[in-house]
Amino acid sequence: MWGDAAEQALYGIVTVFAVLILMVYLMRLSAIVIARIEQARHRPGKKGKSPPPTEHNP
Amino acid sequence: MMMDIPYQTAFQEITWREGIMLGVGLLFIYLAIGKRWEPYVLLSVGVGIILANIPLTGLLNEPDPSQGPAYAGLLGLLRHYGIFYFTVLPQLIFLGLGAMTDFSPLIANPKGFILGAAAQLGIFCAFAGALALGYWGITDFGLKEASAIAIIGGADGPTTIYTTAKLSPGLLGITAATAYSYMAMVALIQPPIIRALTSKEERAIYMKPQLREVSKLELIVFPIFLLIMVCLLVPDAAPLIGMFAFGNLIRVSGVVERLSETAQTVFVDIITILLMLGVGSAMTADVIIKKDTLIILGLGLFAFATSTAGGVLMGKLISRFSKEPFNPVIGAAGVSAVPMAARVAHIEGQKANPRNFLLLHAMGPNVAGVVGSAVVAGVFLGMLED
Repeated sequence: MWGDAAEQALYGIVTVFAVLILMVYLMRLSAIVIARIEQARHRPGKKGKSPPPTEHNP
Repeated sequence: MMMDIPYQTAFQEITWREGIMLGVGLLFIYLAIGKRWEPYVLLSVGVGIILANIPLTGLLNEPDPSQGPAYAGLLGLLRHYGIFYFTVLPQLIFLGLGAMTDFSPLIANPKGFILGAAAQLGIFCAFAGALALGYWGITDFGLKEASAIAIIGGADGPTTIYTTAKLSPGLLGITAATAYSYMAMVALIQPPIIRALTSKEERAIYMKPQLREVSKLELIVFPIFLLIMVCLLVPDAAPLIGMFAFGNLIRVSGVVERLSETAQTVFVDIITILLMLGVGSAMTADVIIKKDTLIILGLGLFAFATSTAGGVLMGKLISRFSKEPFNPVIGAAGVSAVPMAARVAHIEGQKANPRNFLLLHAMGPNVAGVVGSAVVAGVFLGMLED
């Protein structure tokens, strides 16, 4: 039983740290990518989409 | 006919054990109304306990095809379909919790994930403790029982209910009640541990109250990443994390306002009522009044305390290597108990340095703790579920 218990505890500790540390890097990576996308979107001279006309447009 | 009436009442069937449980139910109701301790939880649990411990009501009868549909009682149906057999209710409540959760403090400072992982230490300490007690012959806890008790250290009620219902249904009432009771007492349990493990100088470390602004795209990407990554790595955590991420996506998508509002209010309230009545009804005298209950209460407290210690110690480690000032007290918020644990960290930081405003910083590890405890639950279920 102790062998199984040790295996379960070790697997649990490793998994929870692995998953959450992976999330740290994934979120940092996504923050960088998203920041670049936003930067590209707001680059001066870049044509933005004009808003669609509403039904009440005069 | 009139002479038979006294024999048709429940008075003649009630024993001292049920009497004690009626007292426990009344105590829960008092704590909810009089002390405002987790009132949304303890009120329904208290009524569930009272209803479950009054004999002859038939409310606890579970559906039995040989007895016909009229045989089943309301609490029996709730327990059978909602908790024990299909375990639908704890999974659905995660959808509501996801819709109520703001991940932006965690996305702004992802170090919170590491604190959320470290604050699961108590689960593994209590797991070892429960097995050791079994080994020494004090209890007869095996791996499944030890896992169900240990998950109390995650300080997350629905995760405790889900794991216990799957692994050791007989312990459901007491593990759930222990988890919620200690969650309500976080403000009493955590401060002495935080003070014992940190110096006043450490608690006084000033952190800028503002976090960076998180874009809408980041908020949308986060639950999608969380869902896919956790479900791929720990498939058994999918019922909890899947619903949690879905609920959060409803919130941040910004295109289903009605669903978001419903999930955060009406939906989560209905599920809470049903789940807590079911949990209360699992606390019958024959299940609760025995030696193991006191041991589980002790192990639960041990799990809470060591989880807090794990978070604070990891906070100290990060503080030592961090380039920016980092207050280790926010590690204590890594135990889920949202948002009470974050509030405790905030108050302890402010007591040491009145300029400190740690609430936002502490919310990151706090919500990471919810993910962490669900991941550990998934690991336990993956290894032990039949």
